[in-house]
Amino acid sequence: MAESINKRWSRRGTRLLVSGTFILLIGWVLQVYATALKNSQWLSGWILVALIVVLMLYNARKKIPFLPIGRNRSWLQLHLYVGLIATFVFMMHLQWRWPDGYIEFPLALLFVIISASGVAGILMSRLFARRLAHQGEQLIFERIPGFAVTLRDSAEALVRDSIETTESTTLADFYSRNVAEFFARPRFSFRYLFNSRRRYFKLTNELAAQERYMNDKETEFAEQLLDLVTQKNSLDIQYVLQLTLKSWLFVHIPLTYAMVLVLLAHIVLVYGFGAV
Amino acid sequence: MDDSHVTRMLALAPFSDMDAARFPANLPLEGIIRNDSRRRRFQRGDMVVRAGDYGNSSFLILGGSVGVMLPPGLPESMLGHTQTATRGMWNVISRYFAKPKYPEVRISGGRYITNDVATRGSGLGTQVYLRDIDAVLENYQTATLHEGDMFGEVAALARTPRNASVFALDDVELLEIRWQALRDIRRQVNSYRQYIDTLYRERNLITHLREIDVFSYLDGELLKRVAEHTLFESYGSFDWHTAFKSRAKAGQLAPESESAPIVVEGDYADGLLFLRSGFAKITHKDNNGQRTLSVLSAGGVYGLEEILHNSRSDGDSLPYQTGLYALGYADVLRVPTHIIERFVIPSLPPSVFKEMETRLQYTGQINDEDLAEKALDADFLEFSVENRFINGTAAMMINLDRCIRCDECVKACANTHQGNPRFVRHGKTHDNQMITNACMHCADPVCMIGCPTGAIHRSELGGEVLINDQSCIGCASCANACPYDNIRMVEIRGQEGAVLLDNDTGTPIVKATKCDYCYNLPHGPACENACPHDALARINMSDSESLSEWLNR
Repeated sequence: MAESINKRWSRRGTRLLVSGTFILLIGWVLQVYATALKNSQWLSGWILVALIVVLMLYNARKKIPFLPIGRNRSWLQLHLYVGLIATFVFMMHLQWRWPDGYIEFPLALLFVIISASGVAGILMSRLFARRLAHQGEQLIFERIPGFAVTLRDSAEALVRDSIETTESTTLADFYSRNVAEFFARPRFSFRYLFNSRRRYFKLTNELAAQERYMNDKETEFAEQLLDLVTQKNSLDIQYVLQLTLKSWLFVHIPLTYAMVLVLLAHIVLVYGFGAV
Repeated sequence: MDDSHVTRMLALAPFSDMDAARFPANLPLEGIIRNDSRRRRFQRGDMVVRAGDYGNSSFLILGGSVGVMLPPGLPESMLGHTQTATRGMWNVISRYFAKPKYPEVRISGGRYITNDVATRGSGLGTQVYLRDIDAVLENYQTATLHEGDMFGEVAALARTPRNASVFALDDVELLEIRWQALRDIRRQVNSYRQYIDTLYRERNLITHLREIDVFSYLDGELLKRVAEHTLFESYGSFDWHTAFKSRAKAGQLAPESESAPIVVEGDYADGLLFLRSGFAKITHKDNNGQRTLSVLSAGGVYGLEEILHNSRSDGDSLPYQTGLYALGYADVLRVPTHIIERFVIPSLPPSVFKEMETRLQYTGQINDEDLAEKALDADFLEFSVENRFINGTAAMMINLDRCIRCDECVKACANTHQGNPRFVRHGKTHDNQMITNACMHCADPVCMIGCPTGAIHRSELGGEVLINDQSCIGCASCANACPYDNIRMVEIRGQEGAVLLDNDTGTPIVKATKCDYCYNLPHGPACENACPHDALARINMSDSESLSEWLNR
């Protein structure tokens, strides 16, 4: 195990070293270019365009799984490290200054958002996958609403049964007051992203507080309800984490297309009115 | 079978030559014939068995004659099998862009594609026949079997693929005898056992013995002597999957009591065991149970360390250091210790002894260290044994710590199968590993037993279990037999999305579908290639090295 972890870190180290070498090499070439009184921004711009094309190829590759052009895992690694190189080239292209042009500003902003969303995406992929793995039964995202309905029906049936069996409405009143909304649908809360269990603890504490005023039979039903609340909480965690893992690409990819349009405008303007 | 037919069978050879008194009262010969055999009639040209099929019965010719195809045999298309050539790149690309709008579309160019296989009847009673029997006889080499001849015993008893196709030369009456009957008769009747054993010795044994490393030092003559003394044993039940499946549906695991003992830990080391087919677990006694140390699959050898040790020690005889238990069923060859000592040990180079002594240190009491060395998680091993995942040669394993549920694997599968994913990204989990509901291309493919048209078969190229869509009649025998629920029955559609109906019955046409391991793509399984996070792999569960490598990444 330790050996394989070492291997993984050694691979990462090698990739970082190669990326760093590329960054230094590009920086050196740009420096030589500038020293020769040539337009280094023109060169860095086209290097950046080339890197963006390579980055975009990853999404295209995913759509053609039948072509024998390497595994997606290799393409993802290429995407990550080319992204890292592109970020440095981007900064060199801007000459470490924030642009203020009508086209350049949104272009730079889009690049930053896309890069940031990429970093956030890969971090979430690593962290959320582990958290999902430890949520008990593994659920397919599309089936979660169905499971939520089943849990809600079970909870409602339990509460109705408690009224008939215990001839008391304490649990039913508590359910409609505090729990019904929790069971209504899969719930999205940003708290789940940060591993917060506040809502769950609040509900279970409230339920525990109610148990003081219950007899044995009612407590039995309350325990069963607590079990369903725990299941629903796990369902919501899976829902939120899976939805987030699926959704971040809806920021990363469409903004990339938007950036390409602005980039084209930028190139046209540079060639039309710039000193190249 | 009614009384008159049973009486008729008892009067026929080989049953008439058997001493009925030798059979126990609770398992009489008459009962075996009544319960474990049936009469079947075939017309001229009907296929009786196909080469490559897995069968669990043999046949006795009661009347008429059958033809046996001699090598090279009939082409795959005439057997109802898929053509297994790898598709060209242009073909792959054009199929991708011609993806239908609706799921499970089968119509091409306005007509439903059929293949060369001719069938009669429906459902499980479907009979495949050769359209032009005269042309077959003229173009292919065949041998003829007549009334009183038997065929298919070795394949039925050893659960090996049929090695030749057999078809009816005229109207034929056959007695189909299930493997249970063959096993029971073999146990009670010496002459029958000798007959079966001789057949096996003549046809297969030398080949199997040659596969064992320790016999590779023997010349042909010595190997023949070893073969003469080799014993054949079978343990467990061929029908393990039936009980396993019904228990799995109830959420239960295979109980330990279902593992038939081949060797009990501490037994005298009386022979070298070679697993010919099936699976067995090597165990070590732990409190009141047996802890699984590793799994032996077909080709595995057991007991060599102890025999070599004993041959060099003076009176210090070491018994078997571990137990060996059949999982489901196991077919075993046992070479007695005295034969090993006499013929095999003298020919072994010293390096083999050194290696065995080292290995012996890691069996028995200190096997924990062996496990630690191999780093194969003991709990995972028990999990895969209890769930019989050991059967998989290409089980789809997902590392849940890395899987982000992006479904790229499912999309890639759909994109390479005309828009229809052939697995469900769901399945049993152990710790951070999921074994999904994707066909595992089992070493013991029980789904292949009983397919009336031979639509489900092993590919000639890579041994993947494939379903030929054109010869599948939708009887669901494979889906019902699969112990892991990895075969799905689907209603097929035309290009406009309408479900296709059977002309005769008016009911939807149904086909069996499952993962085909992308057998005809140039780069292997699309699911594995598509996973961006390196979370999915197709693993041979019997290969402890690649399994432990995957588990311990």
